[in-house]
Amino acid sequence: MDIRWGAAARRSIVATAIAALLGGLAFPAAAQQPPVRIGVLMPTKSLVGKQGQQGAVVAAEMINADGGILNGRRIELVVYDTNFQPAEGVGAAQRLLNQDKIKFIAGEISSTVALAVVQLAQANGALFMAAVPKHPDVTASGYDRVFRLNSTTAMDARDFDAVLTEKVKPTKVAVLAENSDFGRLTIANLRKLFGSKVVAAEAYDMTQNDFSTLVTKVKGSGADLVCIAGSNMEQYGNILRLMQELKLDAKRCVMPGILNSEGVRVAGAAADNAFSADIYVPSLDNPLNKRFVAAYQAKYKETPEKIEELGFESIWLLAQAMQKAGTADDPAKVAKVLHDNKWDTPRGVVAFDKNGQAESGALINLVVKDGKLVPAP
Amino acid sequence: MDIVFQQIANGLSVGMGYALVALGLSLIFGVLHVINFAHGETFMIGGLVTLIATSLLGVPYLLALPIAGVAGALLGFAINHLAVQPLLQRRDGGADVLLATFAVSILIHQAVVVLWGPAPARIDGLAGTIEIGSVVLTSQRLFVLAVGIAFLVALEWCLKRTRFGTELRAVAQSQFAARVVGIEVDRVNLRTFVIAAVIAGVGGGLLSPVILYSSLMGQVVIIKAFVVVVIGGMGSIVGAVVCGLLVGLLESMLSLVTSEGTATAIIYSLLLAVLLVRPYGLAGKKAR
Amino acid sequence: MTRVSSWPAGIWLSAGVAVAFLAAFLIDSPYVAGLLAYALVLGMFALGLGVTLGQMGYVTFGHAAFFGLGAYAAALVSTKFGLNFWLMAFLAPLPGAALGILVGFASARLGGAYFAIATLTTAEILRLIAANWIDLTRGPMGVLVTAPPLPWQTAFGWGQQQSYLFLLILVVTLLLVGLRNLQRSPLGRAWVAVREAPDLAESLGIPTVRARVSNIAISGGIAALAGALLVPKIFVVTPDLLGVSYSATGLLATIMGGKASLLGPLLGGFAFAVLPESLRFVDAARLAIFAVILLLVVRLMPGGIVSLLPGFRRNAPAPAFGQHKLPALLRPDLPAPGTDVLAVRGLQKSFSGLKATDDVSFTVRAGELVGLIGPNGAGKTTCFNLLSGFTRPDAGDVLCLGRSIVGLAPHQVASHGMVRSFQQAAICPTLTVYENALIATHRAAPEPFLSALLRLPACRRREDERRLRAEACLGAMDLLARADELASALPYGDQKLLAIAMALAAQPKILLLDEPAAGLNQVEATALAKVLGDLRRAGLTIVVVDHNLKMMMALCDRIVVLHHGAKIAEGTPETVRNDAAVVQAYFGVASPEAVAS
Repeated sequence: MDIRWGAAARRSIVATAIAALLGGLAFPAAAQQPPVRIGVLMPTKSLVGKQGQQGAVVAAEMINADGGILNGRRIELVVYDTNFQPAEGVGAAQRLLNQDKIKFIAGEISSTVALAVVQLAQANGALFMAAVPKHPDVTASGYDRVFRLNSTTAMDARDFDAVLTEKVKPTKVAVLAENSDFGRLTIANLRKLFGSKVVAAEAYDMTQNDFSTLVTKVKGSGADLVCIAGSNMEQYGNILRLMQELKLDAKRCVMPGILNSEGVRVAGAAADNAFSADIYVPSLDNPLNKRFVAAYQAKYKETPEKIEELGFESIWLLAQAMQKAGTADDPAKVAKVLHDNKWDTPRGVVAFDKNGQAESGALINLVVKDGKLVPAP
Repeated sequence: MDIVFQQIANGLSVGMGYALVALGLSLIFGVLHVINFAHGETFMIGGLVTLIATSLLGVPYLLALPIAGVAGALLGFAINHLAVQPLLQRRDGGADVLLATFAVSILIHQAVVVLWGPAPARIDGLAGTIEIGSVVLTSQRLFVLAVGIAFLVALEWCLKRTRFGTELRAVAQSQFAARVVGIEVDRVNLRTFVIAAVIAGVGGGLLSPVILYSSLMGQVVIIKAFVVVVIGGMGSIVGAVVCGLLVGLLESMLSLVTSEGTATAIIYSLLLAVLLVRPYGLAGKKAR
Repeated sequence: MTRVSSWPAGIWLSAGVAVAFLAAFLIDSPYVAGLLAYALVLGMFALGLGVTLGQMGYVTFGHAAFFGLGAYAAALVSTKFGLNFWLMAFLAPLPGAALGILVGFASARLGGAYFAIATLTTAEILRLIAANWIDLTRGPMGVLVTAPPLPWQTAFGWGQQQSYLFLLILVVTLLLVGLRNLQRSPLGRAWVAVREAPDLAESLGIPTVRARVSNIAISGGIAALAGALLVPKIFVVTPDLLGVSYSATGLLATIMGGKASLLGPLLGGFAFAVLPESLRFVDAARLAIFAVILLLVVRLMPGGIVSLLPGFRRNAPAPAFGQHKLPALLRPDLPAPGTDVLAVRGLQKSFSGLKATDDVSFTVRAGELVGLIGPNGAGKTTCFNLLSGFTRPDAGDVLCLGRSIVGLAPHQVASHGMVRSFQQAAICPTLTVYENALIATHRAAPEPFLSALLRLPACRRREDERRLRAEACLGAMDLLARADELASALPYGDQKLLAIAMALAAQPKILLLDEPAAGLNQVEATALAKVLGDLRRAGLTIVVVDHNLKMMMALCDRIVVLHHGAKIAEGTPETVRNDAAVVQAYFGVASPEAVAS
């Protein structure tokens, strides 16, 4: 028999061989469990968004290093950028829900975006674990699968008001607040607390760059305590610097939940002796925190602070809850487990109230000493 | 009353920043008769280069400024080559340059956000303050004013006393006539563009210690620069500086009585009012 | 080959409805439906922007002002008064159109870059108001809107995204049909005329201010509708809807798609919405990539994506040829012989102290062909500008058929029957010869807005009449053979003939021709003279300014001579030729023999 190996025949043999090889690769010897996919929404192009994302990544890595959850399944994060825009947030959430078929969404920094995502989550039966948004309405929708990790302004005021009235005891108070619900709520609260002692209450635009006018006005008011309520560290850093430049002699207070090392760096020497408070500080002494801080420092060469920690928590808690509920596919069950239990986090023990608001105990008072943010004595 | 004086001091220094950007815009418009929308981003790049030079490379601030100027020059060269020169001869050249420089401004801004990062940063300028009564003037702010005036004087000298200045004024008056007498119009255009860009770059380096470098600072300043140029007159150099200072002053005075957002809105409305009454600005010429 | 844009409205509408139903039934994934919906909203915004940028040629950097205004209006009214959001969304074009009317008036005064800056500033002012008027808009926190389900959601059992998509497809179809109808009506052509040659438009009787206002009002209304229809997608209305980012998006989408076409902006909007999704891996650089694309498009492909597709040149179909007689072109109600058609009394005009027109008076009677001559700088064109309303006299009066026209806008003067041509042949360069002539038929047969929008049968009839008229005027000037060529490609002499054809199409009672023979050789000048003679014999009154003295002497019934702005002689060609003052003015010597004839 005359076997002729024509060019076409040769090609098809090679093709079949390749297909067999690839086919073999696609079906590995040992069957693996599919990963648990959790959606993460963050304004990744901004510094705070990156910080939150990095916290979440460390959580996933720690969990996977521990062997994963639900019989060895790895946590896989699907991260989308929301860029502080509700339109983007909704688009990203829809992608997670409909394209990626993910029912657990974590993260986010902006309250505006979070509010939109809550609507979408509710319409789709998904679970949303909001990390950093502070606006009260995030947990006011009545939907039982929304959780929020950060403290609200009201919760902060609970602890911080006493610090102001009993330890600081100002005679004249000035407030510099950003033009957002957070800023306005702060102004309203301080007015309620100090009444006529409030001699200046100035709001500034979220995109404002130049604060010399504002600081000059505050200087002219003769206040001996200046409270700054701005979530944007570049802005409050700038304000602190100007206060020093223009020789404004007053105690400097940054409202709880805002101050971090980056802001201190921006303000430079001007931040010294400024005080604040927050729900987390990296020096907290508990085993999980030590592990978290070490893992974060190893990976990113920086010390994590509140935003990183909340990003971490958003993934860590979901994973723990999924493990306890025995499922990564049923948001209702996982939500119930989250509500019904107390959880260990780097900042301490966290419990959720019926609206999904996290509670972790008293605020930690902070002060800036020698350019470092440390717990106050 | 002290507040008012302090505000005057604040306003003048910020106003000089607007003036430096407006100066370049006005120059480009006077000679090439087009609007360079990417001018604000040149200002921002100047700030960024100053930041990189001082914080990463350890260059002293005063040396970083000329570097910012050089960066501005390079950027100006690139913008002219990419988005202005090839479009000038088109029938719809003015509109096309507007759009092309708009695209370039987005490109520069996004490139910076992606490659460097969106986070603002602080630059340490000149240290020290001068106190007159209770008014505090930082050395940096005084420096900004001084450099701005120096630029103005140098530019005026250049325009009136050098050959290039004469060529520039000739091209500004009539490109056609300038070509007829043998002036290389393209070269004059390029040099004008580069000079404007240098001023903007140095301006960015000057203003960053005052208002904080941010990747958004170009977008913020371009509209205010437009206000200045339109009110001061397109093509008028002294007008740009005087109106820049005035706008800065007006802004800081208004901020005493109302929020900064409202003050800005009032200034923008002023621009619209001026345009509707005098469609070519207070002292200006027809745009293409 | 029939192009998509020339299909009858009925087909467009049925196709749109069919596509809407298909999409709503077949698209299962809410994500895909939502994405297409977003693409349509962006496309709608770009369509609106394209009306101003593409049709009328005005660059606007602040179109987000309309977009955000529509979103806020619909959101605020529906949340504060508890009204159905969808109904409010359809009222959103009203504030958009109102703002558009204001901006339209501004565009009449501001050109090019100033207009762009003014629109940007307006958008910024609105954004600052939205960000700072917390009590009304909740500032940066925004207005949360929950849109109720659409009626057909339950009726057909669709998902929320699919119902939304269905609505948007219908709306976009209606918009496309409406815009296409407007494009092919006198209003749309008026927009193009404003873009290409506003002075020409005025001289032909097209009210340019009204055209600008209507253009930007429509553009603003569409953009506002798009903004309102975006709200169900984003849930929260925030001040950044009024910001530079959205203005830039709209601009990029319109230009990338092709600003001068109808479908181009829609394509651009699609590209802009869909590409980021597929470019997710370069998500960080998304906007940078779009900026590069915009730059490339402006540099290399100013016509946009659409210009790459075959056969998309916007062209009115070429008419059939036929015989056209001049007298048939003229209006039936020409002034009777002997009436004073034009009476100029003591006209004065100075420019910065220089007397351009010094006490000029003359009269032109029906059926006359009067020449206006004089050495360079005598003030002849100034005189025409004064007569036609382009310049206002300092003193004196101009009566057209007994009515004073001083102070009227040029298009109003043209409406009275006095139509002028320009020294530099004024034509719309990027249009064909035929399209130019069609624009000129505006005044003679204007079209009410609604009728144009809906393209009622009466409208179509009038359009046919206009086509015939344009054709006839071209035929009279012997330009029909070149009807489909670009006007700018015509030789100069033919361009001047085109200008006269257009002036004729405007149905003048008196024609003012500014140097019609300039740039013509002897053969062309003779042909022109013949045409003018024929027109005069048919009863049209004509005033001609020119330097070709041979032609003028042969052609004119009477000649008026201007020198240094003043009238120095008037009379028959013979009289004037031998007038000492005239000879002095032209040659500096008083000898009649020295005058070349």
